[in-house]
Amino acid sequence: MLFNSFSYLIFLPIVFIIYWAINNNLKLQNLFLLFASYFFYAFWDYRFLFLLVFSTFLDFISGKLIFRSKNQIEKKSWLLISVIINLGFLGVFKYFNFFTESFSELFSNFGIKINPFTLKLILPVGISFYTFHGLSYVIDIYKNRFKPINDFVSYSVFVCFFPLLVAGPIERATHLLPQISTKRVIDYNSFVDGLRQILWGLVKKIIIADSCASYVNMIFGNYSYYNGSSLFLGAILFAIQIYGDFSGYSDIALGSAKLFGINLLRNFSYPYFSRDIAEFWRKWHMSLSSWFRDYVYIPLGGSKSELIIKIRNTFIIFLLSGFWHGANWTFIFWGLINAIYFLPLLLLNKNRSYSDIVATGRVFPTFKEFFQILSTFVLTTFAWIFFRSNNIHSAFEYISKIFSNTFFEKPINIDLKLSIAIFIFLVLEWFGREHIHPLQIFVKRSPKFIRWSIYYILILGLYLFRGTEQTFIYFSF
Amino acid sequence: MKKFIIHFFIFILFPIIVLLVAISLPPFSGERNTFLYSKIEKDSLLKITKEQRLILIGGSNLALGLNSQMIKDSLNINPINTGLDCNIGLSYMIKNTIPYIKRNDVVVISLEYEQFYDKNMYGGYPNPIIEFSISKGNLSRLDYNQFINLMKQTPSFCFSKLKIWNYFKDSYEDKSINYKRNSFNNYGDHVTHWYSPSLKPVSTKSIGKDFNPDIISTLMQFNNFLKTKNSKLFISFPPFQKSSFDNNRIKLRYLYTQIEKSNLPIISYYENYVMPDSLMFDSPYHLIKNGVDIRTNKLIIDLKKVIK
Repeated sequence: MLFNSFSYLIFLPIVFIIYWAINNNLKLQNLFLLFASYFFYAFWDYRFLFLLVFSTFLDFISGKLIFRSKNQIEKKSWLLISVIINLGFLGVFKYFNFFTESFSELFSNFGIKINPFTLKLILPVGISFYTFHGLSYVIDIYKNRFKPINDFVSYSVFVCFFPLLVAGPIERATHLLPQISTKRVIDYNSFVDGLRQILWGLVKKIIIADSCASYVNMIFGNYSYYNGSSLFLGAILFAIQIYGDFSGYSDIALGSAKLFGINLLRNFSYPYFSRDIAEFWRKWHMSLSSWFRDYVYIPLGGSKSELIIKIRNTFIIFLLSGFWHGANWTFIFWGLINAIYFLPLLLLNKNRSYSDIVATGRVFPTFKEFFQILSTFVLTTFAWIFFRSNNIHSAFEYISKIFSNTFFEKPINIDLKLSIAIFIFLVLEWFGREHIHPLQIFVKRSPKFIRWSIYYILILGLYLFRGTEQTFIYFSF
Repeated sequence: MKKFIIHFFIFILFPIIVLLVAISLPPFSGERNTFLYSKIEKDSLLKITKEQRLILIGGSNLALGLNSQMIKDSLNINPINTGLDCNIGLSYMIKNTIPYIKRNDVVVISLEYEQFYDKNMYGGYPNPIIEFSISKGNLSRLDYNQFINLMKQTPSFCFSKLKIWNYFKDSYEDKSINYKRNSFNNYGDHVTHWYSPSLKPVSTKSIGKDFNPDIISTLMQFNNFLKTKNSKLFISFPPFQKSSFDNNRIKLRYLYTQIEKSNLPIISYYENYVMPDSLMFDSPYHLIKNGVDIRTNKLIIDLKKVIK
C-alpha cells in the first residue's frame, strides 16, 4: 500500500479510530497495530509476509540467546549466526544476481567464459530496512546497550510498524521499543502536527517529485538526444525529485506515526541547505547515516583513530551505503564519489565545521553561505547522476555530454507551473529550516482562518498540480 | 481526542459540502447533447433489440470503427454497438451490459489495448459523468478498484460543474458535428466522421506500463456468466494504427499470449487489425469510412467462422 494511494487514505483513519478505541489495553493495542502493519504489507505482496515474520522471529530469539549467553564466545557466536542469516536473506534477494554476473564479467575479461547462474526473484519491499532494524536490535543487545524484551508482539511492532516498514526511517530499539512498551497518550497537538506533516509530505511527493519525474525519466531515458544544458537541468530535477520523493515519504511516515502517539527518528533536515558535504550527510537520510556511523564506523575506530584509518573508514562507510541502496555499480560509484568529496574535509579536519542551522535568525544567508550551499548542491547533484543512471557507462556518457559545447545551448522548456511550484517549495523549505517541517511556521504566527486556508490550498494543489503517479524511489531498495 | 475528531470533521466538512453541491448540480445547457449521453440510447438498444443479437462491447474503437449495417446484412443478426469511450473501463462496460443479456446473445469484446495495462480497466474521467449525471444511483454495483478510480476522478468532475458560467452560455459544445449524442446511427455506430479526411493522429508511444492480470479473470468470469445464459462470448481486437503498433509490438504480443493462455474464445488475430496510418481519423483506434469498412469486413470473416 502506497502512502500516496487512495487505499492508504481509507486505511489510516480506520486503523486510527480502532487503535485509540482500545487505548485502555496496551497489549491488545499493540496486537492490533501488528495486524494492521501485516495487512499494510500484505497489500503489496502477501507472499513475503512469511519472510518478514521469520526475520522478526529470528532476531527476537537471537536477542534472547545473546543476552543469556554465559561467555563472550557464545555471545559472539549467536550474534554472528543472526547477522549471517539476516545478511544471507538480503544477499540472496538483493545481491545474488549482482555477484554472479559481476564474477562472470570479471572472468570474461581474462578470456574465461562462465554462464552466470541467476535467480528470478522479486525484491521483497522493505527488506533492507527491516533487516537493519533487526540487526540494530541484536547488536545493541550484544553491546549491552539494551536488554531483550519478552513480548514478541511489541518486538514485532518495532520491526513492522507500518509507517516505517517499507522505507524507514531505520529505527533503533533504544528509541522506539520503549515507546511501544508504554501506554501512549492522546495528544491533540501531536495529532494535528502529524496531519500537517503528512500534508507536507504529500505536497513534496505528489506536486514536486512526481512532476519532476516525468522530465527526469524523459531526459535520463533518452540522454543521447539532449544537449548539455538539458542534461544538467535533468540532473538538477532528479536532485529535487529524489529529495521530494524520499523526504516526502519520511514526512508521511513520521506524521502517520504521530497519529499513533509514536515519534520516529527524523530522516531529513533540509539537506540541500548544507554548507559542505559533511553537513549534507548529517542531514540526508539521517537514520541510515547514523546507523552506519554507530554500527560500522565507530566499531572500525571512528574518528578517534589516525587520519589514514579515518579515511579508510569513511570510504568503507560510503561504499557500504552505496551498496545498501542496490546491487548495481552505479550505487557503489555514487558512494565512492561522496567518499572522495569527504576527503578534503578529513584532511583539513573540517568535517564538523557546521553543526548549526544555516543563517539562524536571519532571512537571507550571507554571500559566503549562499556560495557554499550552491557548491554543495552542485556536487551532490553531480553524484546523483550515477545514482539515477542505469549503468556506469551511461552515467559517464551523460556527464561527458554535460561538459560539451552543447552546455551553452538553450535547455528544454520546463512547464511554468512546475518551475513556480519548485520555487515556492524551496522558499517554504528555506523559511521552515528551523522547524521539523515548514507548515510549523504557520502554527504560532497565524490565526486559524489563515492556517486552514493554507491547508485547503495545499490540498487543492495536490489535486490540480499533481504529477503522473509514481511509486516511491526508495521502495526499490 | 474529542476535540481532535470535532476539528477534523469540521475541516473536512467544507470540501465535502462543496463536492456534494457540485455533484447535485444539473447538467449545463447543451451538456445532454454530448457524446457520453448517447449511452442512454445505447442502453435502450440493449433493452429493445430483438433476437438474435450481436452485442459489441468496447470503447471508441467500436464507436468510430464499425459499420453495423454491413454486419447485419452479412450475418443476418441484429448488432448493438455499445462502444463509446475506452476510459469507461471494461469493468463498467461488462456490469452495464449484464442486466440486458438475453438467451442466444452473441457478445464480442474488442478492447483498446490500454485496457489491458495498469488500472485502466477500472475506468477514468467519464465515470463520474456517467454515475452522477447520466445513470444516477448505480454506485452500489461498483467494485473496490472502480470505486477508487471514480473517487480519483470526482474532484475534476466537481470542478467542471462549478464553472457556473457554463449555465449561461448558449451552447456548451463546440460547433463540430462529431462527438455528439446525435452523431450515431440506429445501431450505435458513430457515423458523422465517416467521410472526414484523416487528421493524422499522433501514434501511441506506449499502451501502458504493467499488464493487469485482473482483466483476464474478469473476461473469464463474464464468459462463465454468458454460458449460464446460453450466450456466447468472443474476443476480437481493435483496429490499431500501424505506427502505434510498431511502437508496442512486444507488449501486444505479450497481451495476446496472455489471452491465448486463458483459453478465452479468441476469433481474431490482433495483427490482422493493424491499419495504415492513412485510414485513421483522429486517434490510433478511430477509422475513416474506408477503414471502417475494411475493419468490419475482417470482423465479419472472423465471426462467420463461429456463428452458424
